[in-house]
Amino acid sequence: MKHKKKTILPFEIHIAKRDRISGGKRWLIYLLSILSALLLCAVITILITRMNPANVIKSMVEGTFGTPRKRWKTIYYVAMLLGISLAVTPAFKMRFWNIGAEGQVLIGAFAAAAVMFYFGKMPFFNDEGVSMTVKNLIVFPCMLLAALLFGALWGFLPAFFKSRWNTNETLFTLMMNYIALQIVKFMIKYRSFPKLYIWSANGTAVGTINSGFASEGIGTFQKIGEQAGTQYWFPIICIGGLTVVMFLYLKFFKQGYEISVVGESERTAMYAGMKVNRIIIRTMILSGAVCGLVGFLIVAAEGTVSYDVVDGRGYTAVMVSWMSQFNPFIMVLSSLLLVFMQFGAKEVVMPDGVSLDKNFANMLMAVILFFIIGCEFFVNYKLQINRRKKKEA
Amino acid sequence: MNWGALWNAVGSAAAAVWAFLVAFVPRAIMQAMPLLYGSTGEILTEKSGNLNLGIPGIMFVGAIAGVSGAFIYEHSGAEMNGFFAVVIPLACCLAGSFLMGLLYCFLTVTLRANQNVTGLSLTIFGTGIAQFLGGSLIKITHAQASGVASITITETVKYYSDGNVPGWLGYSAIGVAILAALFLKYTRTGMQLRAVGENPATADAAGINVTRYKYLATIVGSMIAGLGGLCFLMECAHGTWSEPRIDQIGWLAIALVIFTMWRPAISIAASLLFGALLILSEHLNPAIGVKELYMLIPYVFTLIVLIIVSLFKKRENQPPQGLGLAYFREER
Repeated sequence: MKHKKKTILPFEIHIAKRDRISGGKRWLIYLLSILSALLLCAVITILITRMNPANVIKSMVEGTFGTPRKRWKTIYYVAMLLGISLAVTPAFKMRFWNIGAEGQVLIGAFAAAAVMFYFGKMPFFNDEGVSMTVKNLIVFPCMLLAALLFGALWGFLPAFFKSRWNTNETLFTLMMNYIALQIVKFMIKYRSFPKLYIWSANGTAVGTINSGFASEGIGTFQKIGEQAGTQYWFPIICIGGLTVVMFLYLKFFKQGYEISVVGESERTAMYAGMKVNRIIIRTMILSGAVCGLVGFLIVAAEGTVSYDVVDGRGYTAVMVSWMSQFNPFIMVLSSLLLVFMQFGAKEVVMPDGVSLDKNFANMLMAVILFFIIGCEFFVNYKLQINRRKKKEA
Repeated sequence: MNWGALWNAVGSAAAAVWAFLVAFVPRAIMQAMPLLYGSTGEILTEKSGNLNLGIPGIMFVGAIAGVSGAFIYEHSGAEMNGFFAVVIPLACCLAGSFLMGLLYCFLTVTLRANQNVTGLSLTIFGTGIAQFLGGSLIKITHAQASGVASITITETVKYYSDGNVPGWLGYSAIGVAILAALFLKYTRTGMQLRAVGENPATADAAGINVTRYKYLATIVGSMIAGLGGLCFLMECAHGTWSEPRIDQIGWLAIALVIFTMWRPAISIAASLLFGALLILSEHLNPAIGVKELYMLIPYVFTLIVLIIVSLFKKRENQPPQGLGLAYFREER
């Protein structure tokens, strides 16, 4: 027979499925793989920059935590990435390959900004007699509602078609990303929707979100604190709460349990009497709505929307969620690591003036993820090395 | 009735349509060819039961590897030679996408990792490495004066295409697609490959080496897809690296696989259609902003196609049964 195994090794490796693995051993495997991944990342960085590793780390730390403003910004970015990661987690745990977080956040942000924009044109909101608090109390819930609705819609559509006709959800959600992107681009250009010049032009530019009273802070959290960067505290607290809620939801609630059963096996869920289609649709609506919430927070903190406001975080969130094993608290660390690498990389300037960038950080993150998805093999299977007997064959 | 005026009007209308077609059709074909490479590569891959969502990343790596090769060759000071100008980018591109395919196979076939996540992280990896190098290769090699932001290759590109007409690399996509179709349908190896994708356990029992087939099909598939990236950069982007939208091409290529129901021959027509849709917005001269709405067309169209395809439940139109699942012999 032609496929009789040719072996050079004096032993053979047998792969067997593990029945169960102790928690400690499992985390040891993850820890080892992350450490080796980080080591490889360090080697790659040093080979490319040819700099002293201590200097690289020093400039990365300075770039991320150097000044109070940078610290705030870092925490804010961690929170936003964490929020999107939390949003994609239920769907992923259900093995629903939703890569549409990008579009769901963007459309949520857009809806929130649209509410801000059109309210800002209404006479009531230009009335000097009405106090700012009242205006804000009306604007914010409406923004939030619009963002949640649109995010949920963007999540509902792929789930509906998936559960009804088994339409490929990966490509569906991806196309929804592009559709959201084009709609926002269209609105920005054609309707002269808010662009990025809101701060520079003191709100006098055409089509800025809160035209006329940007300085008074309607629709932004700019004036809540006096220090620079403190417009970020509200989104950060929101996401902090969301982390705990999501942890409880996935771990202790019936719905969270249903999600993990559907993820393990749709058949099992069906035979256990769960309505799989309804679970899929419900979870995606939740996922989309949380994405919309993050979109709202982004608009609320930054006071504007642009078509690249999500900036690829919808995709990196998938990595964060997966490498944290769907555990919300580990996601905090993972997002921190990612943001640290993205912000830090910009500050690493090589002697010849070239700096690393966000793309480089993403590449390193993917390397870490490769190690983590690779190491799951050692969690699920064990290798037995059998010494080959001499008088075989 | 003034027949002469009518005749003239018809004549000028026909001339306008003709002029539009002359400008439009070659560019549509040019846009279609990278898509065709991508979808042909992905069809081969999926026929082995591997769902490779890393195609956008692989195309990115193919493009940056090829362009870096060309760039370094152009700045090496050597005299331009037609043979090397063609072979160096091609070889670099194939080598880059080979490595990406190998990485994917190692993770999903040998280590049995989840194919969706592996593919997604491959895309993020490929996009990251390509965009990073595309932005900084010039500075790292000190080749061009500072201030030039992106890689531009001027000499090598002439051997690939001239202006707005597809070049040899583009047209060979059609040949590759036809070869793939014939291979899958009429050769023994192609049949066995399909068997691996449909039911690896049965194929294994019939004496087919599942692992080898999965590796080979996926690696060859990703090398074909990598050529699509090079093709896009050399022909559609005229050799200039400025934030190329290869990711978009890669995703559409994966959508094309479903659209054509895993048939490379149909993919030729389908990618021409998509290529036309992709550049339609540039030829209709709409008002400011409305162009963005025209750019919705390919995506909405893809969505509708996805839904319609999923409505048909004919057996021939279904994906390979083993698609997306890792094979472990002892797990029955």
